[in-house]
Amino acid sequence: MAGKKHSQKTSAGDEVRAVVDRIEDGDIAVLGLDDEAKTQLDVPLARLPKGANSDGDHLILKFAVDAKSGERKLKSIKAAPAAARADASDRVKKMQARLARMSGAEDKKDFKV
Amino acid sequence: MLLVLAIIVLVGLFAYFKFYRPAPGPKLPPPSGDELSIHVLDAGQGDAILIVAPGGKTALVDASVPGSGKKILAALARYGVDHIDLLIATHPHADHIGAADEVIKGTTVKTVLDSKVPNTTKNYEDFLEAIEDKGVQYVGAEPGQTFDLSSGVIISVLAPIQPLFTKDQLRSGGNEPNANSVVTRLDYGEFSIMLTGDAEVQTEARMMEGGSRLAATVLKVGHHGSKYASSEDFLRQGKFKAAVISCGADNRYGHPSQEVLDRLRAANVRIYRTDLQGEITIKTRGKEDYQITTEREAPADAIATGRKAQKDDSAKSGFIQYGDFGPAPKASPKAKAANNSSR
Repeated sequence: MAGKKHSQKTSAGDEVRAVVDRIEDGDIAVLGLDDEAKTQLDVPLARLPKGANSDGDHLILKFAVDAKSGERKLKSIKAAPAAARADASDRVKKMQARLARMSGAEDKKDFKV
Repeated sequence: MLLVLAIIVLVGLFAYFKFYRPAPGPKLPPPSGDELSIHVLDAGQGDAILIVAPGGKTALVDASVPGSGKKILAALARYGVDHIDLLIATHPHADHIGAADEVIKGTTVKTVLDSKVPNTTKNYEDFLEAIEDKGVQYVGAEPGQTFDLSSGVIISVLAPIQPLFTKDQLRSGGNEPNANSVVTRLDYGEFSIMLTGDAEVQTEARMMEGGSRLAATVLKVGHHGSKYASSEDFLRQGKFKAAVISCGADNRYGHPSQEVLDRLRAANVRIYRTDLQGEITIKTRGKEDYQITTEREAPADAIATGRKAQKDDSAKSGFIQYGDFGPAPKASPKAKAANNSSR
């Protein structure tokens, strides 16, 4: 991936929601974009806004799209409203609890798969 | 004289229980003697490990990055696997559960073992939704659980250990999903493999303190060979003969690190790497002998040489300039709905 350039011709999607999936060695933040392809984007950690630079933080990315080449360049990274993270966290925890309840496997130790 | 003898006996007993006593574990059934195969797939900068037990039971440990579902499903087809009995999601990062929803939709998965450490990414939500939609059994990992794949193959859960690690207990830059990875070991007769997810040194230390059974034939190296995993103490206790590092040829995170490669070599562990050797296959009949084969060969000096993490040069243009960026995003239906409702 490093060194590879994509020049998809399009003018779509100049603002995209993203979540900090993880911070990797070398202080690289890996962002998961809320697009169909679940694109992952590596960004230097120092470029993330203060207060939105940890795993699970929600962001809004803005891109400039070159009309001719279709190439996109990241213009800005903003923190998404705090409610975005809280809502997602709430949804995920509810879903986990529901799935665990449905499975009926709580407290079970030995599984014959 | 008697007092001296008593002291020697007491010291001996203490040393035995502290350092040598085999850690307690489940009673293991004898191996059937037929072939168990473990395929560490070459699925980019992410883990995906397919286990095929002699009787045909299967497990998949992680499902690599988003978009790698086709590759994983193709591997299943290649080995004649038409279902997954147990999918272990070691932790909710996109390089481990990235294509889990694709796998769940693309084949029959019976049980999912999850760390239950939540992540607020679309990726993790899609994974949970796929479990729900397909009616897959969902199990939260706890030490002491065992999963019997028949024919004498047992997968035991060693971590996450309660109470789970919290952010303030971790190194700067460390994170809860990695630290609370599902760590398992597979035993088949005299063969065993430790599957560590992205567990780092603090998780290793907790397992050592807790007396987990760590000695194994093969180690799936934690966190793709990050310098923050695979401590000297852990390698000493593990007594591993071989180690497999699953990482992408194009990663910029410095995986595997030179430090870990040096520690493995100092511990006399033979190293295999998916970034250089492609898919790595381990086969055993449950005796001490086992075979490890690789998709392609790589020179020994390359295998012993680590990668350097890319540093921020955003004074110029940053990583984005390097173009780690696919086609323009099409907003997901959920995002579209959210955008419309907020306008």
